[in-house]
Amino acid sequence: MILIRGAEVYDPANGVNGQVRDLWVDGDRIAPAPPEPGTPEVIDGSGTILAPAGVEIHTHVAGYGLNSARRFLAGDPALLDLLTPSAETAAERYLSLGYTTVFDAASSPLMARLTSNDLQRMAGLDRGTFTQLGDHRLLLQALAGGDLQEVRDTLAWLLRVSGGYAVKLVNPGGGVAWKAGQPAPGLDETIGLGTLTQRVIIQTLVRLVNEMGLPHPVHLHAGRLGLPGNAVAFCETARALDGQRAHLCHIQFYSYGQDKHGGYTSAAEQVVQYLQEYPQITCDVGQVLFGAAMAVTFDTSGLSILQKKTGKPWISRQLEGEGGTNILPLAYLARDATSAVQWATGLELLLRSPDPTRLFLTTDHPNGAPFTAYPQVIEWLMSRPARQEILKRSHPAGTNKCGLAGIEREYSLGEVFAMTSWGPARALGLTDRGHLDPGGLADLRCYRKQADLRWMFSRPAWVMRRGRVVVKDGQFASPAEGGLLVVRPAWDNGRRPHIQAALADLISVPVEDYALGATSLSGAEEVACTSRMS
Amino acid sequence: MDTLEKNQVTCPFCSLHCTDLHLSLDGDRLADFTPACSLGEAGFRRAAAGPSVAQPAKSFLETALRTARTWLREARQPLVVLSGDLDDEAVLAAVRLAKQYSAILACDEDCTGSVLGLSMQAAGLLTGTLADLHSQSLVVLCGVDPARTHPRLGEFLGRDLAADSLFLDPPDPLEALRWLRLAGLEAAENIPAVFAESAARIGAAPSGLVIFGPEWLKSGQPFTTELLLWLKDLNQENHWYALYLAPASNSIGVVEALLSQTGFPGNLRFGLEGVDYSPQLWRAERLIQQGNADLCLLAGQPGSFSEETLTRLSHGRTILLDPDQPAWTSPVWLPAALTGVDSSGQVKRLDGVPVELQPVLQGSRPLLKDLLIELTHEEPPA
Repeated sequence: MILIRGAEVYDPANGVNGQVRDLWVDGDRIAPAPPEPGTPEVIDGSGTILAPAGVEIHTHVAGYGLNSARRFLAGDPALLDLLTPSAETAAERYLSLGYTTVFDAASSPLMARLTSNDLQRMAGLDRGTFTQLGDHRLLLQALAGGDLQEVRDTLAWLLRVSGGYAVKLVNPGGGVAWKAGQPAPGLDETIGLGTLTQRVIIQTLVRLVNEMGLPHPVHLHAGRLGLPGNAVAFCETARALDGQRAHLCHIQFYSYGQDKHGGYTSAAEQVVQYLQEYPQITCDVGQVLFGAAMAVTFDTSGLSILQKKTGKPWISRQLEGEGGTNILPLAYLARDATSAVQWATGLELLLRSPDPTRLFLTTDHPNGAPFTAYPQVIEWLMSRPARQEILKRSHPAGTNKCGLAGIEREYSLGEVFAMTSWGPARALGLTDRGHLDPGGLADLRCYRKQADLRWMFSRPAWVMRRGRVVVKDGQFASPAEGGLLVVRPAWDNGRRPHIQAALADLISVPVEDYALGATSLSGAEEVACTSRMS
Repeated sequence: MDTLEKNQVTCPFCSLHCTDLHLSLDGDRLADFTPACSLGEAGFRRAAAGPSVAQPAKSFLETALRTARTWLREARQPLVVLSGDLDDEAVLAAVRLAKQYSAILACDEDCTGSVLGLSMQAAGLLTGTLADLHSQSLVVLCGVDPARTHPRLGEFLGRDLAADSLFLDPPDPLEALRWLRLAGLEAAENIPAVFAESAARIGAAPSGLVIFGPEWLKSGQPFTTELLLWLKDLNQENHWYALYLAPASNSIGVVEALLSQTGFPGNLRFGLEGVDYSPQLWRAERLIQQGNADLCLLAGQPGSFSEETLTRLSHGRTILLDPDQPAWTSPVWLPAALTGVDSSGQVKRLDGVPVELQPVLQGSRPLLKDLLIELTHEEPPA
């Protein structure tokens, strides 16, 4: 057993907020204090902050699209390393920041092997991927046909054969419309498959996923990404969910108003107020930082609009029977009005949001910034002077067109851990982590208390994964195998011939080889589909 | 002689990787091969008749491995040259080996990595997978003849490429591209008739597919960039997809595997300070000719390296990992299984879709990947 003695403990799930306590670890689990302690290994926790390890709910660190991004960065090794590190390096960096569970935000069934290859190489973490089905023709055809049992079975089959953990919808139907030469559809516009609209896709799939009991609800990348004035459409999308459980990702990119010249303003206040009406919805922020970034997205119709506006070269790889992966180099500049509004809007969302267990810290790596910027963002959230300093140095739009400058709130440590551990773990349906209850996984992070918050969060004193210290003072102490988290929802196997016959008309590879084919996932850990939250 | 019937065989011999082959082998003779494809048939005929499945003597292999390890350890600057028809797993093993011995890793003789990559930085690219490319209203073939290099491509695209396409094969392709780009501008005048006609057909098509190959890429990067810029122009109004006819069966996969592992598409040096990427500096033939590398490890499949290339690269110590025994003496030869014939392996089709190759014949030669891993291991104690 391990005794962590006398640390300042933060456990938002249990209302523990900085009390000095002992914590016991037995094997890979947190344990109650034993009646007969014996001679445990003791870790001195005095002067340190102890909390559950971080849980990443939305990042892009695996899969096919990243190689296109690497093409753009071959001439700048430092930027390449920052924005598109190899899977192994990304895993090490997450661990060294105190994160032990990481979810890649979107993978394609057709390219599932490639995502799986990368995830296998991130063995030090628990990790998984969300399967992007928002433009999957097989699923959309089933939806257009109106047979909900067929839709449900198709969903389940696609998740199973792709090794996915959750259903991702990226601007659903937008890729289908784009391929047909149509503009990006609004919520109630048809996408070219009968009368099927984005609203019907979202409403139906969100409901079915919840009925199927998947641990994580639909992970939704809405339409109108990045456009001025998009907050209205975004709120309408949130309303379309009818109060069902769902996760809306990188909402900073949807929280814009529009000034009379068509420029960007922050609509963070309205968006936060609106989302309060829907307590079943969780979100992540997608904070941008000033500097280089890289758009990596399945949102072809959305990114094509941005590409035309910027005139920059992009790489777009369309996938048969699905949407496509798209890459566009970006730069957020402090001197640029739009970038300043985007930067301020993200922080404003986080600071106006009353509940850190519903809005989580992400940078949508590498779309908004690299995930290694989390300590910097945390410092801004915890220190008003720190963010005011950046506001002073950035374009006045960050002050004039946003509400950030007037916000006095500073996050507490407890709120930081709720936002980065307990909240995302709960949203992902991972009941065994993100808290310090006995029986929970002994995935922990420990910081030496210090005034420099950015430094403190950059360099944990140690990180424990499943009861083993894996990082100590920035050094990797011992490897520990993590699990590949997957779901295997129930389905009617009798529909297999029908599904496979329909799929064969859409793809150029044998159906038996589609997605992971016969490839087995080593280290797969199935998470039960028993969620009953609606 | 036993007769062997195999259905649903995946072909390893070009980057289409057709999955619907039927083979009938009568001993070491290919008795039947359908559907018709000159490349696939020739490849399997050669593989069946050759010494492909012979088990190398254990002592021979151990001696070769021991010598190879010693040479790698002793080398001042080892060079690892990968052909474009290795499977993805072999590439990953080669990267680990190159890291361990601080080697230079060169793999870009066909330009798939550097030239195409640098041009993509400048101009971007819209591409797609084969089933999505069916419905394009016009196919433009730029200096390529798919009937020769990828005989069944037309079937995948649902059209007769010989009859239903626009062929662009001018004596000066760069000039042609510039005229075609100019023709897209409304104010352009004095377009030569030959280009004006092509430009009119292209301009009238609501969507299209441009297929190009290594022949045009070898004209250099400015040329390739011009090609992609032309496509970018076309994409202002419509969807014009590009499809690169990779020259080797896994050119795309090798580059993608390297990008995924190292961040770079090839031609790089591993050192204590990290990876140094230089597509021009770390070219295999240049390194050997200038004496900058004193050991060359070549990993390939039969015919990957021409006799001429092999001769140029084998000035000093040479280690060859290849199913076929080399014609010349002195190198260390490590006989490897032939991917897709007597070994499995993941490759990528020319459109980037991953495909699993399965062994057709029973073989007992070691996988190329395993040989590379063996070389990465420390010498076992005597």
